[in-house]
Amino acid sequence: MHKVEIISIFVENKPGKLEKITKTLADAKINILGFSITSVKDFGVIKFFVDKPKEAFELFKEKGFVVALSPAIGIEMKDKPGGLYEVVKFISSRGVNIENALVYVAESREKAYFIFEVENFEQALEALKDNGYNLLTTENL
Amino acid sequence: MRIKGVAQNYQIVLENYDEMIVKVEIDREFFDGRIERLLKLKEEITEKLREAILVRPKVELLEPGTLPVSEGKAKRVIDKRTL
Repeated sequence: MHKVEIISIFVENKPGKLEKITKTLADAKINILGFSITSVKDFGVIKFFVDKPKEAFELFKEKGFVVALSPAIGIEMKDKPGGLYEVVKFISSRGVNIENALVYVAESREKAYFIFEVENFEQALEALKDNGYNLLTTENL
Repeated sequence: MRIKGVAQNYQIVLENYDEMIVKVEIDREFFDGRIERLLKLKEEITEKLREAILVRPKVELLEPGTLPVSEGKAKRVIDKRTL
């Protein structure tokens, strides 16, 4: 299945929250490949793309965090000017609406991935797969 | 008043004579990663309270376990108003 997973954590907007979360990942030797933070005054949602998403999800749950694990699509793009434009043009041409997104640049710097969540994952995946674009899977991280 | 997405604990803080803050803990099962859903929940709580008390409170969403749990009668209202 061409699927990756994103960890989302609900946090109150207070100093030290991000530190606590990233320490949890560091202690468990889980590598952060990409992340995003959306904040609305008193609270926010921090999203992580990590190398071991299920393990991270269970860990955060165990530690009492308000956490969710959601499916996302990771589409390969060229790590050069215009790379993002090319993939988002393709995504919109297939009628897929991006809800949240982050970017993962592979260690080699030869490849980058646009990781995004959509409202209807199955429908979006069906519209995007087999179109000449490489889709990332958790197993291939 | 029951609203889906809200846990048991809440606290009302009266800051001054025209400001009421209602702090509510969210239900961890409600969270699906979407911030839009949380914003809708916040708006729903605000509206339901406004309908009930005719004042539009400022609602704050908190992580479960944030508010103090009192044994027996919980201290739900904190009055910070001064004359």
